[in-house]
Order: sequence, then structure tokens, then C-alpha cells
Amino acid sequence: MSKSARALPVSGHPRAGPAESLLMQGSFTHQRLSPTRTTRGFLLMIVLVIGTILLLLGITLHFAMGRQNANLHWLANGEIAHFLADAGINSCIRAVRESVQTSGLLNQGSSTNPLVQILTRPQPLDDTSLMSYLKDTWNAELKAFAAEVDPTASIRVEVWLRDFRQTETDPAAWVDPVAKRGYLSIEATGEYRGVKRTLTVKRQIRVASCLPPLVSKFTLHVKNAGDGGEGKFNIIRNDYNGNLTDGPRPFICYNHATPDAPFEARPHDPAGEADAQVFEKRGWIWLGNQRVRLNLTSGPGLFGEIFHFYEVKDPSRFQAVGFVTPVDRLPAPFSSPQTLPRDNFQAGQMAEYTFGHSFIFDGFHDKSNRRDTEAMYEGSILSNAEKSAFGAKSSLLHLYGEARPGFMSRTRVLGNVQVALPRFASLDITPSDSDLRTRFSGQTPPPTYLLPSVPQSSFDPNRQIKDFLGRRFGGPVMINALLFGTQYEEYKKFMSGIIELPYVTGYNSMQDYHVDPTKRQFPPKHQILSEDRGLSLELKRGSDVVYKGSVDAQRLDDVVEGRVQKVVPTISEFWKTYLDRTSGELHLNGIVAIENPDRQNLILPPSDKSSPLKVRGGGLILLEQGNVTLRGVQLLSSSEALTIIAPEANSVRVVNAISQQVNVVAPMAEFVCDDKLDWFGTLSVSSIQANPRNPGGVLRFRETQDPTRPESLSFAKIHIDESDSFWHE
Amino acid sequence: MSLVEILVAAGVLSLILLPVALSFSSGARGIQMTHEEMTAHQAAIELMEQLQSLPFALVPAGTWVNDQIRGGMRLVQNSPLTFQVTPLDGFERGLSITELSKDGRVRFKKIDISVSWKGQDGKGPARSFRVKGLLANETL
Repeated sequence: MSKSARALPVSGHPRAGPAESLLMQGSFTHQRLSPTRTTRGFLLMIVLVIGTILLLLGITLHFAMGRQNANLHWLANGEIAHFLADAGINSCIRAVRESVQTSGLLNQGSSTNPLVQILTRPQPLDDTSLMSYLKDTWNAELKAFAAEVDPTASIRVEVWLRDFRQTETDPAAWVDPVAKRGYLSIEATGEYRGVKRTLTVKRQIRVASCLPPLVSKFTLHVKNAGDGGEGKFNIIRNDYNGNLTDGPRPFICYNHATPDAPFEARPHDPAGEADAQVFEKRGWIWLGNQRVRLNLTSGPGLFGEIFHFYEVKDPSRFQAVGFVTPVDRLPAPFSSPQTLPRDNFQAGQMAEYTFGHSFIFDGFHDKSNRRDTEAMYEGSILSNAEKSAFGAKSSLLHLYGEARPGFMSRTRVLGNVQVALPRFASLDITPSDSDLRTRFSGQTPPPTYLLPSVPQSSFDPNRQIKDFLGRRFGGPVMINALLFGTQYEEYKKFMSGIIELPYVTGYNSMQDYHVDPTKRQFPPKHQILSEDRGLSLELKRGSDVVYKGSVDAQRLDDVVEGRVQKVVPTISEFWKTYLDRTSGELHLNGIVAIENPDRQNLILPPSDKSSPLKVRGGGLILLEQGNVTLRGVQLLSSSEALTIIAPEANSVRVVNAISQQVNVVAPMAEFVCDDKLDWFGTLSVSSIQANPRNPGGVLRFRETQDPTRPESLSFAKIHIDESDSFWHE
Repeated sequence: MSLVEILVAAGVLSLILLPVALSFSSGARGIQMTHEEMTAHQAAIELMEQLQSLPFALVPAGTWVNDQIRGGMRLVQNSPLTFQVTPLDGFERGLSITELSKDGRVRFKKIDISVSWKGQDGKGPARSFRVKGLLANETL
């Protein structure tokens, strides 16, 4: 056994030598254990391995250094490319911006401009090169100047619209497919010896509508209309013909374009009026929160609005319409002829009569040529209880326009809004005998058997029903109980009296008129609209849902804040920036927030400027604090609109009779009018002051602002930030 | 292990170590060169960035040699601007500024900066590094 074999034990046996151990395991032959064969060439192998490793390290180091050197040159070339790009953008950015300016991108009035069209297209906007729309005066020059540096050098500057995303996409808040945000990207690429570097100057572009979300569908949007009592608006003193005697005058809502509307005048369209869904195209009205009761104004006069239930064809021949109660709604005696004593013959002489029930509606009138006040209670047809509950004055708010053709403007009314109107009920009596019928028809005025209003305490089932003038011409001798039984509740359903109906009943009743004006019944045959508090409103433009939620537009503030394109600290700064002192015109062309920490009043136009404020470029003003006072606003173009959102305002006041062509949204404010109102747009406030000296006037809905119409999308304002947002390499 | 075997191994090792030594030497030279080029690059960029940040009108056309480009020295006589550069031993800066005009108006100033040095701590061949750029007239 050699030493080397002993030095390399391969078995764990404590007393066995390595060789013996291997032999015992039978793993190796004896020949393999030769010491000369195991160590020969070992040193050479070690040397070769070490040498190879060193060689590899050396080669690696050599190539790594070469690579680092190349990288250094690549870095240096990149730096030069960067300098070229930098020089390129610095040299021509003004020319680029001038080109963008002259391209009309910022010309808000030109909706035909291709760049404006790209940005205001109601759909997502992909990255778009503007080079084909711009007068490229710079790239040819840059190419020549780059060649002065090196034959391989080049500079190119391009303008793109990039990274646009739509910003109003949630129907629970508001959907506007035009609203978007992205960047005007001026990109300079420098190239030097195959290495490129691009510098980008980005300016944010914001596109948003200057119309108020949701409420632009409304002529009048009043959050807490019922504050102050359900009858607080019933303060107008008018006569039977609807002419005012003295005192306050009403506000009349035109919920569609009328023949005398500014910009959007449209002749009367009788066929359009017959459309049962005409409300869809009109401005709506919301009188929110508590119950509101509006006493309908009597007569065909200047302020009469009884056309809801009158003959509407010819206002100069304004005739009450007789409504018939359907037979199936009447008590049993009405369904077959009754044989009763005649009133003008000896006792015991009988005749056969057929009974019907009809009535006319009328409006409220405070005066007549005979009485100074509460004239509508003459003749005791209406009861003292009603007199004390409803009074005789009519409503400050005329929601369906006025009686002239083209100015009747029935629409959808949301909220707990009731219309109150006197109903004069009577019996229609037709004798079976032809002689008696001739006697009846020969009476002037025609025989009238009124069913007077009585409180329950005064109800007498044995009370005789007579002609209202006490005439005897062969009519029936009869008592209440004969037709209505002995129960007051049954009589009450058919007697005269002041009734309250959901305001939309008038809409449905007018539809009856358009279908067949000769046969009017009540309740109306058409049930198009029903009472709606507006809790789950849905607005669509075509098939696209633009809003789904409550009528109170709870998230309006969020939507508007997201649209703000520019913020100014004070009202004076606002005028300084946007009012052209020479022409006195407002050039807003954007959506601007005024912080107004001093809570100053925003007065339009400013007190030191003559009225009206002429608006050359419209927009939206978010007055974060303070009240609004209007001294007249005139839009100089039909494609413009001006909106004021004043979320913290306590009052919105109109101080003169000049036209106010503006939308105002002030959900906490009371609307106060010091002079005759001429409003063109949307008014959204918390309440309307029931001023005993109210000057009245009109509120005109602006049809092109209707968010359910495609043309409402044309009121988008494009804003390009004045400073670079960031540099990007 | 025999003497012969040891001698053969030593000989083989010598043969292998020769290229190893050469490659290591090349790598070390590369490191040195890269260090020098990096220094030159930094020197050139330092000067370029300084010139790029100056108002266009105050950047004079001309040629400068290393002795004229030192920290605190004026670009030209009566100029309110001075060079602000890091002193570098063994490196020499050169600067050339040329006006590029069109339609009678100077549109750009071409800046050509070179940094030269002798490699390997002054023992090697002369080397240089150049950076070129354009300074744009933003007032046009």
C-alpha cells in the first residue's frame, strides 16, 4: 500500500485503509489504484485551467473597455442630438405657435375650422398629427441649418395632438362626448450620427361645454320652490279676462322657440303642437322640494293662461270648453232616463229626462267690473271654505306660456306641482219629449243646473236642483239624493268647487284638444305624462344616455369644477383679463373660475360700464363665492352662450328690463327681479321671491342649448394652457 | 510528479500568460482612455451648457483657444459674461462660434467645442473630443 493511496481514503471504515476499503466494496480493481497513473498530468491540467480563465478575463476586459468607449461616443452623439433638438424647438416654437394660431385652432367662433372640428368631435380622439393643417415654414430651414453642423445631422419639429381622454363619461354625473383633455405636443427630434433625441413641449388642452350640465334641459329649475308655503306664488290680481288690474305681474315661461325669440325665432307650428311627445323637445320645469300650488290665471287676456282647459284655436274668441264626465264614472241614475215631475205644470204631470254631467274649468280672478276683490266667489257657486283656502289671486308662475298661437308652450313639469282651478259643474238634462227639447233650446241663456260647492256641514240631500236663474220651462223637479244619493262624499265628487290636479294634467288635456277639440272629457283620454318628482330622470341624446339620476343635479358642481380651464383670484382681475375696455365686450372664450375670497357681487356688466354687457366670446363663469347681479347681457352671436354658476350665492338679482341672455345656476340663491324680466336661457335657483311688486316678464328656453339635441354639443370651449406643462425627453 | 512535468507546466503557463498580460494591458489602457474621454466629454458639455443658457444676443461669434477659456475670464472684452469652467490639467479646450443667417437675420449660432489631450497621462498620442450644437434665436 503506497503513501498516496493512504492519503486518499475513500471509505469511512475506521480500521480499513483506503485500498482495502475499496477492495472490500469491490468498487475498483487493483490496477486502478496505481499511484503513477492518478497524479500524472495533474499539474499541467491545473495550469491550463488557470491560464484559460485568465485569458478569458483578459479578453472580456478588452471587449468591455471597447464597448464602454463606444457607449461614451453614443452618449456624446446623443448629447449633440439633444442640443440640435433643443435648438430646433427654440428657433421655431414661435413660428409653430403662430401657425397654430392662424390655423384657427383658437378661434372659438369658427366651428368649420378643421382643427376645431377635430377637437370638438363627440368621440375619443386618437393621437393626431397637425402638420397637414399647419403652414410648415420651419422644417425646411431646420434641415438646412442642421446640415451646417454635420452631414448626418437633422432637426424636425412636428405638432401633434396626443394623449386625449374623455372627461365626462359617467351618466350619474353627466356625459358629454365632446369633453376631453389632452396635449398639444410640439416635438423636436434631433439626429446626429444615427442617434436620435426628441424634446417635447406639451401644453394641456381642455375641451368642455359652457352649458350647465343637466339644467340646460330646463327653462326653470327651482330647488326649493315650495319654501314659504305651497301657495306663496298666488299673489297676482287679475280680472276675469286675464288682464291685470294692479300689483304684481307674472313670469311667463316660453319653453320653446317663439315667433319673437332672439336668434331662434320660429313661426307657429300647429302640427308640431299636436305631437303627443312635444315635451321632449322643450325646456322642462322643475319646482322641487315641497308641494307647490299654482292658481291658474283666468281669461284670454295678456296674462291669461286658462288655455290649458279652454278653446285654444283662436285667442280672440276665447271660449270655455265644456268637459263631459264619462258615463261609467257617474252614479247609476245617470245611466238610464228618469221620469220626474215637470217644473212648469200642475203637480203630478211627469216627463222623462236623461241626465249627464259636465263642467267647465275656469281660472282665478280677483276682480270683475262689479267687485273689487274675490269676484270669482260671486253667486255662491264656490264656498266660503274654498275662498279662505285658495283666495282669489292667481299664480306668479305661468309654466305653459300664454294664449297666443306660438306662445303656448306646454311642457313637462317635475316636482310636487299642483294646479288649482275652479270647476263649475252642472247637470246636462235632455227631455225625451221633442216639445220640451224645443223649449229647452229656446232658452237664453241655456238652461243651467249648477251643482254648487257646499261644505259637508251644509250638505242637504233634499236640496232641490234648479236652473241657476230660477226659470221654469219644463225642467225636472229633483233633489240631490235622486242623482247622488244621501252621502256627501258622492255629491262632492261631482259638485262645483276648486280642484287641485297635478300640473301635468293640463298637458294631457291639451292633447285631447289636438286630437278632437269637439269632444273633451275629464279626466283626459290621453295619459301621456303623470306626476313625476324627478327622482329617476333619464336624458338621452339619440340613443346615448347623457344623464341618469335625480333632477336636482347633485353632482353639477363636480362636473363644472372638472371643466375649469382658468382660475382668477378676484372679480376685478376677471374683468381686467376678459373685458375689452374699448369695446365693452366680454371675450371669455373659456371656462373660468373666480375665487372671490372677499365675496364681492359679480355684477354684469360692471357698474362703471353701460348696459348691456355684450358677449363676443361666451363661456362659463364659476363664481366660487358671492352673489350675482344682472344688468343686461347680450350675446353677439347665436353660436355663443354664457353661463354663470354660483354655488354659494344667496341671491341672483335682475335690476333692469334689458334682456338677460344668460344661464344662471345658483342652487342656494333666491331669484329677485327688480324690473321686467326678459330672460333667454336657463334659470336654476333655490327659490323665487314672491315679490308683491313683482314686475313680471318672460323666461325663454333656448332650444339650441337643449342637451338632448346634437346642436348643444357645439358650445364646447377649447382651452390651451398658456404655459408649458412639462418638457419631455 | 516529475521534474519534467513541472518544467512542461511552467512553459505552458508562460505561453498562456503572455496574451493574458497583453489583454490586461489593453483593458487598462481602455480604462484610462475612457476616463480621459469622459473627462473631455464633461468638459465639453460643461461649456456647451453654459453657452446654451446664455441670451442669444450676448453670445459673441469668434474663436477661442484654451488660454482664453478659463474660469472668470470674459467671453470678449467688455462682455458682462465670463466663462465658468472647471480647471483641467492636461486638457485643452477650443471654442468656435459661427453665426448662421437667413434673410439678413441671424437665426442660429453654431457652437463647436473641442477638447484635446495627450492620452495615457501625457505619454500617449494626441486625442480630441468634439461637441457641436446650435443656439437658436428665440426672438424671431
